[in-house]
Amino acid sequence: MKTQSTSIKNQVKPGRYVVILKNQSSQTIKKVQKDLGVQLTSSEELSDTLRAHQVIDNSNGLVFKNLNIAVIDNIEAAKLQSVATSRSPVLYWEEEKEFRPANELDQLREIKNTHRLLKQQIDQLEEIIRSRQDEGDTGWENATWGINAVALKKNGFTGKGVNVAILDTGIYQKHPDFANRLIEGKSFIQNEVWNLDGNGHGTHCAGTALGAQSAQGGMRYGVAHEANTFIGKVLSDAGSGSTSGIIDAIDWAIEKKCKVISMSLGSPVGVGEPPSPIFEQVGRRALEKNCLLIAAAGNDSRRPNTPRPVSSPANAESVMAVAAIDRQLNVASFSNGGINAGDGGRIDIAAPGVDVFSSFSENAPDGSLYASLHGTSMATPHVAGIAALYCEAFPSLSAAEIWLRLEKNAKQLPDQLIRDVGRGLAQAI
Amino acid sequence: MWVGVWRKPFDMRKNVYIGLVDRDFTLNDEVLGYFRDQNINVLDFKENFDIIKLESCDTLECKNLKYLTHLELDRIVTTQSEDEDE
Repeated sequence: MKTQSTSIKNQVKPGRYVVILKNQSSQTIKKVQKDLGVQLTSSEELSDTLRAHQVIDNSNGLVFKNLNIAVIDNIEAAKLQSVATSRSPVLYWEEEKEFRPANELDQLREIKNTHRLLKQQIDQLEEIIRSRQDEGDTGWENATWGINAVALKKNGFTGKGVNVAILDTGIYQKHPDFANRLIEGKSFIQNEVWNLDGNGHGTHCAGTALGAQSAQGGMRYGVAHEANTFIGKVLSDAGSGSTSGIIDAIDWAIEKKCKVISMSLGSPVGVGEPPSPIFEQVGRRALEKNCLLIAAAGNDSRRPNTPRPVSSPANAESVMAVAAIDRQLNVASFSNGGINAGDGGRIDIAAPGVDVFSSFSENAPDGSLYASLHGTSMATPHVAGIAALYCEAFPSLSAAEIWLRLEKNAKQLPDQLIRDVGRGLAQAI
Repeated sequence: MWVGVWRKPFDMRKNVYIGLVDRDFTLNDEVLGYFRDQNINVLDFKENFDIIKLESCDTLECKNLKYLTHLELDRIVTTQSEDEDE
């Protein structure tokens, strides 16, 4: 091995050049021989008894067949330079280089060095990531499971300056958690005011999306607690309303420059029933005006046996449909799925919707002004609050781009069907 | 003396509809007059969405009416929390 290596090494000699020729015609070969004063032999003449190194050593040069390359011995660079004119058959030349077999120890040394540098870089990266996590710690000890599931960061965005509308049963404005908040509202229900909420559902949804940093007892439950709150009462204290009332309220919220509208409401849709062109038009026009409509997928399913299609208006292509998941990050038994997905009625994203703690009106079951509820109604304001954080973080993005970011950053739920949870669990920023 | 609750006969109850109109639609006297002639009240028009809200005792069909590209009944919508639905 060592002998062979030495032998190869010795083949490289000073004054030996590799030359690229224009072609291998006899005229070219003759001109090169004449200009450089060398004798060239074709590689076709090589055999077991006549080897390349012998030809090059003895006859000055060898032309390799089909390659237009010659190796020429005993010549000076100056001579090559002098003939390398535009009309010369010599196109390019360079001194022959020495190639050695790779030294395994050298290679190992280089790998060790690369490994050391990589380790340094990985350590630095780990340090940066750890420091970022310390700054925006997502592990809340005293928060709802939903707040932790959506990875809300302690020092992250708060929705500050973003107008968000909750279209629901109103809000109990005297709730202590909303006492110091500027809230604007309007009722679209005859003879009922927006700021009392005889139902409690609206106060619960508003609390999840925009509620205080901590409940009186200290439990954190609101996602975007510094967003500007707009309340549209579109559902009566009995919990029902009409499509036209909702459209009226969406129009109002857009006029109020709301960038996000949360709708924890719906009406059931049959299997194979296409979405209403009405809400498709409303959703598209809202997006054009930089406003994202987010709606509950509906609670008509009885899983695992009977999943039902996404309700209206969530089944419109231009309205974001939200499914509910439980603490184990499984789709909730009641949560509707993308059964009519071919017609646009797919699930876009999922959020916590089982056993969700939030504020409630004065008619709370235990009189505590708080309640834990289940439903896609509870999942929807999680996403609306998160959307407000994105709007604050990326003020120049359009509503459609915010939608895409929400989906892109969602946490995939590999054990769940896309039909049931869409792109996955919505994540805060 | 009869003291029961009087209910309107079914065909006298008014239905509320929501319809889509073209983007260049204008709610002018001519349009109002047309709907009045059809015994239809125009309740609202949302210019931002090109959506019109109509009321009629009759059953309306989009194909029989001018200006409309789609028509459907105003639907009932409810909260989507399990506690109230069940």
